[in-house]
Amino acid sequence: MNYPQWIIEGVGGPGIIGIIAVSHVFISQFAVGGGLFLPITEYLARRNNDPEMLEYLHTHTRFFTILTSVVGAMFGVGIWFAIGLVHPDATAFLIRNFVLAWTIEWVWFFLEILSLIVYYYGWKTLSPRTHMMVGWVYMFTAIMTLVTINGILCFMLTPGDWIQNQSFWSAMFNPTYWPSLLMRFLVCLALAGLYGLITAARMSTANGLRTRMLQYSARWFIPTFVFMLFAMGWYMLMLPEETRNMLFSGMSGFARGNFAILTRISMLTILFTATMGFMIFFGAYANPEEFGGGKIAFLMISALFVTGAGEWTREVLRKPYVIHSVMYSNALLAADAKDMETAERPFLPRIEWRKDGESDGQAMFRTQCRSCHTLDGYRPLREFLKGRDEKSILSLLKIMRPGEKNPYRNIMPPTVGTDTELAMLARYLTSEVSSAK
Amino acid sequence: MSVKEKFQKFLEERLPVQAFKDLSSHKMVPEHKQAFWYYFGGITLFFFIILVFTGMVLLFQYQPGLESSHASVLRIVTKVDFGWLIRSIHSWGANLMLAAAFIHMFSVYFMKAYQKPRELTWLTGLGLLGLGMGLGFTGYSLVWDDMAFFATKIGIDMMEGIPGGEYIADIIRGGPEMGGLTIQRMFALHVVILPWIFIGLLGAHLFFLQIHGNKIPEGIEKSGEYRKVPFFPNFIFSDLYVWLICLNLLAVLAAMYPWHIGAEADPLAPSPKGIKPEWYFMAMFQLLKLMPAHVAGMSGELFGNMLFGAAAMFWAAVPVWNPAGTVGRRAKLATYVGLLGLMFIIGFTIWGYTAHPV
Repeated sequence: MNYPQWIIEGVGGPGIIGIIAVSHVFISQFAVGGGLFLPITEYLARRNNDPEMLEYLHTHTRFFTILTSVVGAMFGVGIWFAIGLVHPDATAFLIRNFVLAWTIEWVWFFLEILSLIVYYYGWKTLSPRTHMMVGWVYMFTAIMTLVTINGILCFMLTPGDWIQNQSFWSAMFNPTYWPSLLMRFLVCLALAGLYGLITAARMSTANGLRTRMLQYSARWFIPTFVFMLFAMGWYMLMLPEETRNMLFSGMSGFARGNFAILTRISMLTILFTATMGFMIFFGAYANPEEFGGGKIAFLMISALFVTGAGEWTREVLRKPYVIHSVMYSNALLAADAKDMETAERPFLPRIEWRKDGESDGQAMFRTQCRSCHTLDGYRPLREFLKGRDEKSILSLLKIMRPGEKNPYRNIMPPTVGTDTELAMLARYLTSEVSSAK
Repeated sequence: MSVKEKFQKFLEERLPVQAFKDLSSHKMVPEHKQAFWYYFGGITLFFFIILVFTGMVLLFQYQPGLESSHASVLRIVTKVDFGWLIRSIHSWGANLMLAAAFIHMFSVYFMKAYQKPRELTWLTGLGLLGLGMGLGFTGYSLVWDDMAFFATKIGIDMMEGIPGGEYIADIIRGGPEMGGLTIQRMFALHVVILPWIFIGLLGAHLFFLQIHGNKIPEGIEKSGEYRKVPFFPNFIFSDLYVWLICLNLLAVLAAMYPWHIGAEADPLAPSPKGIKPEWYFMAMFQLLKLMPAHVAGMSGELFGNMLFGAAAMFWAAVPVWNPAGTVGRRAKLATYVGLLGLMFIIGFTIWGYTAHPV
């Protein structure tokens, strides 16, 4: 409410962030996994005096460098662009609290890109020893980018002791930090192997190297296949109980709704992870001769689904907050909402930035509803409010005021403002609903 | 002899796995640019296995009966943990199985894999498709919601249109009207009679497939643009890979689009708007709807049913009217007939859905 917002119809602001973020994660976690894959594979090839394997790795490094440093970085900038415009208040809040972490992150990132470029361009010019050294530097810096950013991502779901002590270290090493780090690390390894399969499958079948590299890349999936379920369980145990319960809310009953879908998406994530393990075994490892384009495409689709589903689950588990127990998804601070529970304080004066010609009702709508809802697309308000008149919408808004009586308190941020302000919002919503085509 | 070797010997003496392994690694499967279509037989089998297992789980909760059928399904999908999921997998699995079976049938047809010596594989396959549709029809009715009730009623009424059909309809209904006995008989057909026949026929179908192997399309065989890969591990592992993709597809559909259940059937109520059968009967249903009251001195329904019977027999007899070695216009005729059949099914199914919106 302090800054201009980017309002997106159709997929909505969260949808845009989601698409960019999932694409970024899919590539950047490969960059971290590749940080291990490249130097470890090079080390093995040099130890076994295997020039063919080194040649394969050289080709793989080119693919890797272009994908991670160009496409991955582009999506990384895209996330900043999207979150800064769609949710400026939450972005500002995170920058204020994590300026040190992000500075460290960017240093790691700079070193990571630098060492990767030296690693790729130094294949033919650096001595084997120096080249290996650059590879290890790349591995270390790539892992450190994950170690750093993981703290900020987990903080948004489980701020833990930070709420009481406001300590940077409590924020960084919050309750889900370690299980999340393990999960992401396992995903990184799997993605390293998965992308390894792509380059290996494109090789000639003539000398047996293709089969060897396919089976080698497939083995990178073993730690993920063995430990992922354990990591997921650990992560779940570290979640607050009410958040954990949300995961089980769709077990019985087939009704639609975010929380039932949350259970279903979580189940599908587990299933897809397991089936990917079997696909890699039956496809790349045990049957490398028949492993080709179509099979890789399905593996990549599965991996993209697991990445997207995992990130989406983490986002939905935070509901109705953008930073759990601290800031609601519409940028309202939880402390302010508590304050507005008893005293009917006006909300409009808190809106620092107003659009030219924006009515009060429209400003209420933009600041309290628009972060999550579109009119006709993702979470469509016109559909949700269809059939309600102004009186009915106003009573719904009043029911959603802060406090224990609000039945939607675990699903949506509360509505805040005086009776007059809510009436303005109700009038505006009614006009929007009635103007539906 | 090491412990591992001793253990292997112990096993081998009792279960000769190695012999099976040797046999399957000597069996070769053709691999070429159209080999993708071979997978649909396996996909159909995979969905059938899923249906058997989910069906057995549903049996623990489902109670056939006029008072209990709908209530027990409702309980399964609202109260039983993951009951909605099992039922959804069963329903989606049935539809996917039939879709895969139709694709399999047409791919076999266009590859002319019905020709000598594979006539029995073709006929047993057609029998399996018919039984699959029968399983779909009987299973659909067991929910006993309004749509299922009236769609089943229409289906049984259609049987009355064929000579002697009224007796079959009476047996299935358990009398002149649909009621508790109808559910009981549909249940018996769905969980015992049809599955046993299906399994027997499936055994025969797979046996004939093992004897004659996969057919290489003539053009590809002549050009020599194919290779042979071992059944084990190459083909079987590729098959398993495809099964895993199908499992994921089924899981996504079942979890994200849980199967619907309507209000309990009321035989005295007027049939709901947009009543129609499942998609695999839609083309037949739409054609019968278009029939005039009387054609060639008989009822339109009887004429339609006779038309279907003749078309099905003509289709099944394709190995006779297009035998191996047929060339020229006659060989092309079979392809045109296949295309006509495909266009009829797709076209009339779409027409049916647009003509009878919910």
